[in-house]
Amino acid sequence: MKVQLQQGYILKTTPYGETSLILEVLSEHHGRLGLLAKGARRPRAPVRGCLVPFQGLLLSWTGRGELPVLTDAEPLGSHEAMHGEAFFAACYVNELVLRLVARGGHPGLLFMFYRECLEGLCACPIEPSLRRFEKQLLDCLGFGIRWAWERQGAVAVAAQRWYRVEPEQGVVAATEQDGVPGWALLDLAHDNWRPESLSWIFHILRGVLLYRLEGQGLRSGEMLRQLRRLTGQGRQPATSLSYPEA
Amino acid sequence: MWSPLLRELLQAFRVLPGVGPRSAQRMVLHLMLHNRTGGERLGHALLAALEQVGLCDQCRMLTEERLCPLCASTERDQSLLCVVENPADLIAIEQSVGYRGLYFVLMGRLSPLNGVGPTELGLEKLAARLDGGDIREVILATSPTMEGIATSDAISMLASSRGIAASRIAFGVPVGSELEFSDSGTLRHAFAGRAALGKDTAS
Ligand SMILES: [Zn+2]
Repeated sequence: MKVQLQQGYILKTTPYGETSLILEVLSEHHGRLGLLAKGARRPRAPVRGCLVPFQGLLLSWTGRGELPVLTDAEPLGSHEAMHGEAFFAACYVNELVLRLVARGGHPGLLFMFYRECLEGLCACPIEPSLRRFEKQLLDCLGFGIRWAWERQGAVAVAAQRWYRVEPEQGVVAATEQDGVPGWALLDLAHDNWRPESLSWIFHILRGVLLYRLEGQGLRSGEMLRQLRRLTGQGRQPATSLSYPEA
Repeated sequence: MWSPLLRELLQAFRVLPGVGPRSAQRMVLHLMLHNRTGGERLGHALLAALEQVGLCDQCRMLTEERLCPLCASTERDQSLLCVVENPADLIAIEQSVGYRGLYFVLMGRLSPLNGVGPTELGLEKLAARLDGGDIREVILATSPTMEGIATSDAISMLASSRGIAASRIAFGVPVGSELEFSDSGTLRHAFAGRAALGKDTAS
């Protein structure tokens, strides 16, 4: 099978043999797949330098099975380097997709959401882009929750009441001691990323994602926290960027 | 055709980069037939280095001492710190640039998805060094790849949070090459890193 000029992003590269790379890819029409880029690490390989994450690519490949072979890769548009915390945020997004979408998976609009998320991360602020993508990813995977409804649809969530989010059952009534405010859930439902809701929304999504990640947090988040400790931001609350913790 | 010891030696040579079966065979025959003393020396030197060489306490360069010769030297400018990804980069800079400061070797670059983060790059040690108070300027000489740039961003955050100046080496068009053959990324870096023409550059 020959596939020509497919839009895609590389999520991760792993060295293979002395000169090759294995690419984990998210493509527009073929979903998640692995590709073998033969000789891509040779000093004069034509694709050298363009097989990097966060760069939109036109990918061509051939072959079936677990690991088709990359035949060509061209950068699509200019590449915005990810700077500072945006780099960790973008790595976090890639790690999330790698952990939750296996090769062969093709969750609907994920590619489009992923692209929008990267564009959002290049232009600040970071946190709304991350929260929106987490929500979209859960929807794409069929783990979506009706944030504005109790028990996935029975009763509408009220702004002034308190709720808990169960990954399987959805939103359920709770008390102020162990719950999140209804208005934060409504903001999440309506993509209303107000600063006062964002930290609640972070905790809500973190709980659901950690359940889907089977309790195993993501490394990119831990690494950003290490860096923050070293730059003396460790004791401040993580307001600009937050991750599910292990 | 090969006895067990020779077969093992052939295999052993192949751990070296770029050494295939044919060159391994040439090396084995050469040592066995023409240069047994040289082979003995190679064996001893290799074993001794493997046993004793570790990383410099201060800069993480390879050395069997607590401090590498550069860190131990009194001739170097203690207020300048150049951060490189690996020992080969340090050697390249030492051999071609008249740099008189000290180094810090990361032994890699940030790659969260491959498990390389601040701890793996020794950034705790680097932060402690910056806290030491001697360093006035950090020169970031990581490679102009996405991960290299992210690495230098992270280190410049370490430096600026301590009020230490950080600069990055310029990336641009290779000396002696034609502009039209440069790729767009290189040209973009070259443009972004353009330098004012003044007294310093006119000479
Ligand atoms: Zn040293």
